Amino acid sequence: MRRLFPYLRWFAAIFPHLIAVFSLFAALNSPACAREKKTLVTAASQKRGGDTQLDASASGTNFGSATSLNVAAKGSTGQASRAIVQFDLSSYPNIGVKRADMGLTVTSVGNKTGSYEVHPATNLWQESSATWTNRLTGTAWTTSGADFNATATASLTINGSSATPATYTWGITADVQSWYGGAQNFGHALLENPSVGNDVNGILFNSREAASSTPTLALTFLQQVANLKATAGNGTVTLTWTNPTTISGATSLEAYAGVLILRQVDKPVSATSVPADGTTYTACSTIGASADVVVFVDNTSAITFTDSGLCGGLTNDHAYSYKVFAVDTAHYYSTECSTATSGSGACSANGSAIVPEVVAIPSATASAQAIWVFNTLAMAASAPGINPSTSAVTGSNTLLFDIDPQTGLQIVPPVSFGGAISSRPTLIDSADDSIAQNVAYVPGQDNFVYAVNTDTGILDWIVNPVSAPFVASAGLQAKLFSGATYTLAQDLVVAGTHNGATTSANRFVALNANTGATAWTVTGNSGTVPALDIVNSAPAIDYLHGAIWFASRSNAGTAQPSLWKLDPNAGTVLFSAKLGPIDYSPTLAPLSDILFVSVNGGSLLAIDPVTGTTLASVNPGDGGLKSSVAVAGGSLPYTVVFSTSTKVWAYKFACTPVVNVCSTVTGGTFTLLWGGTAVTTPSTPLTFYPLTKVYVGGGDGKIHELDLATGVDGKQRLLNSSSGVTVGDVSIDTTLSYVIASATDGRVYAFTFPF
Amino acid sequence: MTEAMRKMNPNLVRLLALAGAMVISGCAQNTNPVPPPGAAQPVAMMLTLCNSSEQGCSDGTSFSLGNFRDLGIGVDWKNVPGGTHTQQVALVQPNGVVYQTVSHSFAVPDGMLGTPAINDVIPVAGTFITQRSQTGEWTIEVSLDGQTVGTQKFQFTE
Repeated sequence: MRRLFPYLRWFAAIFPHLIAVFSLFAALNSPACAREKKTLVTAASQKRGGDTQLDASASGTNFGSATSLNVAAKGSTGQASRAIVQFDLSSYPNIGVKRADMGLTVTSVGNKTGSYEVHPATNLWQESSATWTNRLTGTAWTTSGADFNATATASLTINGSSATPATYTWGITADVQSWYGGAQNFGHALLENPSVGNDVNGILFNSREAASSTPTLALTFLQQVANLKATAGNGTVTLTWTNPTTISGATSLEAYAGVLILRQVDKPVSATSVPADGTTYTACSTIGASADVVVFVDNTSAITFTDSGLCGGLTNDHAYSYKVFAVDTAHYYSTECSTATSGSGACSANGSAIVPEVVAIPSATASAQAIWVFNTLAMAASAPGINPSTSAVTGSNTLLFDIDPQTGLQIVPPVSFGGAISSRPTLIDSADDSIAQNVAYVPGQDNFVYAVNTDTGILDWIVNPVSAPFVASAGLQAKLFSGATYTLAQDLVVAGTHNGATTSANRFVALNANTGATAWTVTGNSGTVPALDIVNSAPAIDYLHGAIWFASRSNAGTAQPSLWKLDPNAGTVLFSAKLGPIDYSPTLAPLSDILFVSVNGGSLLAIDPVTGTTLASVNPGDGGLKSSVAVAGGSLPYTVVFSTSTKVWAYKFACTPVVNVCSTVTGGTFTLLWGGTAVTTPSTPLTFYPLTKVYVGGGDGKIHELDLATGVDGKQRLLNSSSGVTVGDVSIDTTLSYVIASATDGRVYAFTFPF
Repeated sequence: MTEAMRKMNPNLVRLLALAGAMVISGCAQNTNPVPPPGAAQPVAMMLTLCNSSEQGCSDGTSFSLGNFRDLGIGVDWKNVPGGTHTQQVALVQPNGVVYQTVSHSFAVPDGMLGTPAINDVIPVAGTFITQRSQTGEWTIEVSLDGQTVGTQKFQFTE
């Protein structure tokens, strides 16, 4: 003690100064973190996220509705107990996060000092079903007790003699920033480090079901600008936008000052080009390795900017990309970064991924700008599903993005799935479905089928019907549109599996669209069902004849069926045909009198949907069929449009001898209307009655608008001219008159049509 | 500076360095990352790619899309230290944009060096890759706990 005394005396002498030093650092540090601060308080009534306890001593018990969360490295029974917590961020889809602190209130401490760590969870779970063993009903964690990153995001020492109740805070900024930068959000696991403490009693934290002092997440952030539009002129581009205003209930730390705008030509502004917080920039300076140009710096809350060549003249017919960052009076920018290069909150590769961007092509003759551009965080995106003027939903790797087609902004933050989504989501409007919600149905490669409310991002249900992966979109049999022969009480979600391990025992699955309960399954090579290879396309719902049409592969030949007609009520196989492998969705004509089927690299077939008889076929060459068919015209004779490897074609299909009366005896004929119109690796073409144009995504980074009557590729819209960018299957919002398409640059683009 | 202050100085330096780091980072936080368990030998892995429908799934670096079904990806690890880990495999398009990722968590008993083998299958047949003939040089990137451990290039051909 005598030896320690001098140190203690010295420490006592300098202690006030140390306090002063730390206070100074704190004063320098905290007020300037960003502009708005909002504390999200969990509640029993919240729909998204949740919390629960995982208890090894009750490994099959779900504690989702309990009011407390017990955390112990080695509880009273000698076994561990952990907590898992996820916050509802759905009200804050378009923000750049600067800081995030998770707060939990302790109501009872144990008898020893322990280290309590938060780790990002790495697997999908649900509050109502997660246990020590399982993350979802019937689906186990990879490692019992939750799957999480080995490295703790933060840890706190909580003393066994601490007073209670007391609230403790863990800094999770980097994790929340990563969620907004494209990482999956499965919340955090909370555990006691067994190598530090081994408290037999553990600690009790309040859960969201507690009467008060529930878990909180304090967010500090800047909002993004909204309503970003570009108007191209002759050598000019004019941008307009709306500046953010403070969210209701948030604390304003600084005022929004204006914007900083970055520009790039013939490719998007890089997600890694990010203005550094606290730094001021001058016009015409550059940021990032790709030298994106700062073309506008404003601190006057401007809402428009015309780029007429201040930082280098604009060349007509080139695509100019702009990204608009909100900035506050302390020069913090609306990115998921605190600094540009290093330190806590440093920019990741997706540092500015969700910052609004837009593309415009100045031209001497006509404007050709995108209405909006949405970045799905630098991942390749699936074709978007559309609920007109309400939602455009696209899957990108393991995230589902829900975009407002009117603004191009997210409706809710991305919904994290357990596996990749490779297909166009199937959307239905609340006025049309039996659950009275706007819903997206999405089969995943992780064997699960998901139903997502597109207004809230809530997962209505998740089911694993047959433990096999799905690659293709689901079909939806809507009760509202079905005839009396459809006897089920609700809508039906139908999908086929892609289990590459078998060429014969794949399955068709039908689920109650309201609950996810399995209505029926059909298994290949089972009973009277023929062998069933992988299914790679969505089915066609035949409301007129009360049938569901699936296509499949056929074990590389014609020895087993590839076209299937099922009864929607029980899944009974009504008909099957051995046509050779089919990866493309069968297409019904508007009057359901002809079914058009594309055989891989082969012929287009016209089939009688009553008998299954092939009425006619055609193969234009160029490697055979490489797409589904778009059908134009309201009745026979129909115009059908499809793609081969390098061209787009249109044929007229008529029956013989009377063009609108098809007989299985006399059949029908395909007559070439035009083609092939050359388009680099064309997508499935899109047209429908009464459109007079055909829209096709190309491997040249463009959407092509072909004239339906002549096939002339009259106008195009350039999405991205970088080498190797391919535009996916296009979608159409018929209410807004937008063509919407994803590309392999990870972005979704919207253009008005006709071009 | 007194003798006592000299002896205290290293701690003071650490404290001030911590405070300085808090300022540099922009936002002070109550974070205390725990380093991963130390490994006596470096973590290593071997990557195998194949057409998963082929018998034996033999390793390859070039695959024809014409008869390809699914891409089998095998990762054999060595010297993985004890603890819970997350492996991520990313399939990267020829243009450098990530096409798809697959993640797996696994546990190695404390005090052991694990040799887990993890196999994944990424569907190819009937996907955007075959329907739009996405040929060229693709890349597989393998990471462990967020750190890239290795990459391998391969070809999809017509």
